Amino acid sequence: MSVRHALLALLSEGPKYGLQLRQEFEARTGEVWPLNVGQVYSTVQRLERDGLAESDPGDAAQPGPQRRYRITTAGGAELTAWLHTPPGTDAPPRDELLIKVLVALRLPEVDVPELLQAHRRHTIMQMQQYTRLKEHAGDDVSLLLVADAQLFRLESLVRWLDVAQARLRDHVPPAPAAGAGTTGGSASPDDRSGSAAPAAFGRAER
Amino acid sequence: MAAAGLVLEGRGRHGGLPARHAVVRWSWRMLRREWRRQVLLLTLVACTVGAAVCGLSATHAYNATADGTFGSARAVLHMTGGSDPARLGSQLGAAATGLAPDQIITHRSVPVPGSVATLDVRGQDPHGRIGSPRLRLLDGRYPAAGSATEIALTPSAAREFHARLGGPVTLGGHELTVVGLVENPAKLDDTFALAVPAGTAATLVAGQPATTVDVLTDAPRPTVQTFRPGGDASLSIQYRQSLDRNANDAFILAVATVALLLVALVATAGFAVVAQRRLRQIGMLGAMGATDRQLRLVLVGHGLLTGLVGTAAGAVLGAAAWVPVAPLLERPAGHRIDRLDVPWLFLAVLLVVAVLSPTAAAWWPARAVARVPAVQALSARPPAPVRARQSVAAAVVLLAGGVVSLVASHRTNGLLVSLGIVGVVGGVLLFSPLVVRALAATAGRMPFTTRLVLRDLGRHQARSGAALAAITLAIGLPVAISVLAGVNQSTPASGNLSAHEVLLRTSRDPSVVPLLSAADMARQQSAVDAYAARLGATAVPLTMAYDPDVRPMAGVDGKTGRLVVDAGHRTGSNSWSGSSGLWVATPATVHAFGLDPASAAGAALVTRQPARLALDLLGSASRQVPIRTVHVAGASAYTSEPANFLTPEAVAAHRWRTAVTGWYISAPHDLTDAQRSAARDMAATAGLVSETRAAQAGLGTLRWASVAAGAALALGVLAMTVGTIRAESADDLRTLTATGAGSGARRALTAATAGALALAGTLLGAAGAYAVLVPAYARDLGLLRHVPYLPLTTAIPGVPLLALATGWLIAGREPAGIARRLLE
Amino acid sequence: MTGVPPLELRGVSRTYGEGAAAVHALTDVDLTVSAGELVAVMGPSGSGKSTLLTIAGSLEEPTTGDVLIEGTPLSGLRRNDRARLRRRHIGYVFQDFNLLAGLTAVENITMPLELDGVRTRQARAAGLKALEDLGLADRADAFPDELSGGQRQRIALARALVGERRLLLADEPTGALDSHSGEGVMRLIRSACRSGAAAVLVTHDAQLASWADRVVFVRDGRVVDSTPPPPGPESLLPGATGREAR
Repeated sequence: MSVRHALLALLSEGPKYGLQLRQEFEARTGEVWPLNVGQVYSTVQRLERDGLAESDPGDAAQPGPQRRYRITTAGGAELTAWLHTPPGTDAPPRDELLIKVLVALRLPEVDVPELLQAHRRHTIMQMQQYTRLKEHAGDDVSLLLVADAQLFRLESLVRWLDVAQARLRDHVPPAPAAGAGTTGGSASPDDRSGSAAPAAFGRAER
Repeated sequence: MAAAGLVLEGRGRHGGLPARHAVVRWSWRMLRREWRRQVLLLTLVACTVGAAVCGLSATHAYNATADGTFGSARAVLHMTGGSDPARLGSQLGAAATGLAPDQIITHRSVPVPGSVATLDVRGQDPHGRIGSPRLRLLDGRYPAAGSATEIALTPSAAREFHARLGGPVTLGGHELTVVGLVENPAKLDDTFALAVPAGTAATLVAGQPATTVDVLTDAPRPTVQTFRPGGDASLSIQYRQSLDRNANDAFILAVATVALLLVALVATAGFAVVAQRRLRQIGMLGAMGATDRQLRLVLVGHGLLTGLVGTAAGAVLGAAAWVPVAPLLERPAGHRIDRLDVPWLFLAVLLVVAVLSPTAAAWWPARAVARVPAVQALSARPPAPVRARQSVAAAVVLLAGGVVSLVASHRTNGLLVSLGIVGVVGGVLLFSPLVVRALAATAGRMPFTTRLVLRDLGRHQARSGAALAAITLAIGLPVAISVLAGVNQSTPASGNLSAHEVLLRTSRDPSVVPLLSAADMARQQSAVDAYAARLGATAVPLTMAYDPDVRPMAGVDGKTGRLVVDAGHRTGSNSWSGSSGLWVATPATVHAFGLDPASAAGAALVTRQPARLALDLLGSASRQVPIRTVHVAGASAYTSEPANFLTPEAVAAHRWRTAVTGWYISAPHDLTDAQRSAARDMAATAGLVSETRAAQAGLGTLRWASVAAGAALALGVLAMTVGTIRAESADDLRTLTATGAGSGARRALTAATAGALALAGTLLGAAGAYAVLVPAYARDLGLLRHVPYLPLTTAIPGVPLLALATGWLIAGREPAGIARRLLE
Repeated sequence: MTGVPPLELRGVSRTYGEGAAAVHALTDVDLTVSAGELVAVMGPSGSGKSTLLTIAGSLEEPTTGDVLIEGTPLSGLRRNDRARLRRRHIGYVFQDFNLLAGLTAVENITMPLELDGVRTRQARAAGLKALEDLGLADRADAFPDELSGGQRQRIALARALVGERRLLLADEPTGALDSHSGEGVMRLIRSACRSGAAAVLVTHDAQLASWADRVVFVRDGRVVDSTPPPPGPESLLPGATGREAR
């Protein structure tokens, strides 16, 4: 989520005060991403520094909240360019759930199906909340879109959990080999989950 | 407790009329939506009903009523007066006063030149109420009342006498003028001349005295009874019987019911497919809370609607066919036909049966489908097909029982015949699941499509069994009919002579023959030979023997001649009943009638008649001669065909003499009317009398009509079954097409299904037909030698090949909705 | 009727086949659905969730255990009485093939009423009212093949709810629909629940299940887990996101 471009988009509607920017941002995104005031100002200052926005010259002495900002021509061009740029797909976001499951696979005392179910239940409860939000959203389109986006993201987690569970059930590695893998360190370098894990960690922590 | 009330409270358990209405409405909509799929079944029902309606009307009309004899009267008194005109007059006077309301019809016979037949000259008041149903004016006018010179003729009489309207005619030596053409509308073969008497009690017919009188009367039976003095042979009374027609109608109704049952069998197979197709929807209805009865109603309603639509169409079809058929039937039936004179009650019963039989046919699949658990129905997963019950034992028992009762019936005991037919047909039909199983067992060695087809047939035995049973019955019927037709062609049924025979005699009186000069005889011989040559046959001279010691005497026709030797059996101490002729077994007759001279060695008499009566020789001077009689096979049912022969040894032993007294001609084909007429003319010119087959109803036409109807029914059933099977394999076809099978595979699949069923059905049907006929003709198996090759070869390779071809042709089109299953 | 749950499953087990070939489709399932509640049953294919639904709807009988519809145990009822119970108290919606071809939209809706003996005219009035509520009044006389998938499912839903029925059983009701049409159907189910109906929704789709008040997880014929009754949407606000379910 680019706060920078969201604020540019708000400014493209007309000059706005800093406080107003924060309120409108939260309203537009269904209050899903709360912003603190400091975040707003630091972002706006960076926009000003890059020549994408400018404050009223008379307000320069004012403190942040009282300053009024307007978008520049360069800012408008940047906004248009950003809107048409596909979101970055090459670097997946850090996936905590994946990491947790991979770690659990290494720990013999963890009941993996139970863990998967716990995450599934938790995810579904989150989905229930978004669905409830949707149910009560009326015709607030942006809120509906945000909720949909979250629901699809969470649904993909549930589906991943389902597939993971099915895979684990169908392809349980022989128990002694799994035991050897965990107790004997790197004794099985050809173990697929073992070799995949470091790569996943590496990507996640980059 | 409140919970229990929750379920049981309120409206009836089955939702009453509104629920039934809703379910039947849905059935109707589905029938309308899927009418193309139902059109074969509807056509079959409609055609069967149409044929039954038309057939029932035709048979009803075909059977003669008593009107031709009785007019509208309840009784008729025949008076002969014991050949005493005065006594006849007094009998008539008494009857005419005591039997009102009545009508008197006087009769006198005159000979027909050149024929053994006589013509009835009849005196009848054309305006008499009671007699009017037996008289109609065709052309000209009625003769004047009391006229001794005017006469009206029936067209047949006019032909016989070569007379025409307005021209002269000589009857019994009196010349009269033909003023009109008349007929007996209730008896078209009634050949007569009509005169009109002067008064009600006149005993003159066209100026000549009447020999017999009929009194038609509507008087109550006890009154009529008083005119029958005990033992008076000169007066007989006939009462009208009215039940004959109803019995016949009931028989036709029974036949129609069998046909409808056949249709019902086909319908069962059809409805089983419909049920399969509706399974999901029926499951949905069940999930919605329809009771079993309501679920059954879906299909039963479908059956009922099919029955209603089919029967309505059939009734219209039948009526439309009846209107043009009725006049065509008049000639073979021998009476005029009133199109509105149909058996309304039986027709109503027939229509009710026609509506009910598809309804009943839907019952079984309906019951089966209502029992499928809703969950399975919803997934369109029918329960694993159940094997048809082990019916072999029942089939064998039925078959054996049927065969035994057929053998025991000798074809004469109606009850045993019916039981036997039912038993054998039932038994054969029960074999059909077995045959289906046998077909399925051969699947393993077949190519792919055939294997698939046979497996499917075997898995759904209930469905394919019904289809097979229908084809079996449909094929069996025409095969049986054509075999029977063959049998009937070879067994002379009844009558005086076969239609291809001509018998010529030198005298009208069978027992007194004239002795002719050699020149006359040569003239007769050449006339007969010329006639025979025109027919493409030869005339076999028939010789009779006479005792020269017996003096010449006058015959009934007044000509002097010799009394011929006859064979007869004794009926009293001094009375014998003679035969219709005793012919000398000359080499020509031995050859013509297939007698075996060796077997007759030493016997005086050779007879083809059954060995029941002891025969004596009559007509010799010694009056009675003890003889040895030999009975030979080959009894003929024709009464005038020569049956008794005198051996030449016997003639020689008694020193009798012989004379040619007639000729027997057996033409290679049935005689036309013109040829019969020519025989009469030739005989009249040559001083002979001729005898040909007396007019008989056109049974041949009816026989062929029934064969044709049977074949049409078989084809209809076959089309229906192929259509059904095609619908059945639609799913397979869809899958096959989706996996890339071309039209060839589709065609092969449908064709193999149709062909396999048709082959099995045809074999089973032909076997079933013979299973009925062989026991029935157990005593005369020789009669079944006449194998009807044409119908059989049409049936056995023909029908399966037709089915194969039809399946191949119709299956080429890509099934609709491969990607998108039809919403059903 | 408050206090008597519209649906209660007590120790329900269902076994197909016998001996070594026996398949345990459901094992000892307890489930209570209160009035106004939407319960989703989630599980992978073959987990027994559809069997649970057919048993709850009296289409199938449990091998052991009992089902109570509005307090009435099904075990004592004959086939016809169960059929009557279905047409008065239970509405079914399936993934597809919900409507009877040959009947118009309104006739499809009124079918259960008519099966129960309601006169055609009265039933039609009720059906038209239901269609009006769906916004499909102008499609009343359309046949199923003239309707879109979403319209068909909405009509199926109306049929399931027509009359006084208070228990809705739905098996993947949006399975054949796109997400947006599916949401329309789910909103209808939610609103039915808000007006007092109890509903059981069987699905493997998490988005669909998230419409439920309570999600029951079924695996290998057993209920393995369930979510507690949900918090309101305010829980999404900052500070509440981290809250654990248990």
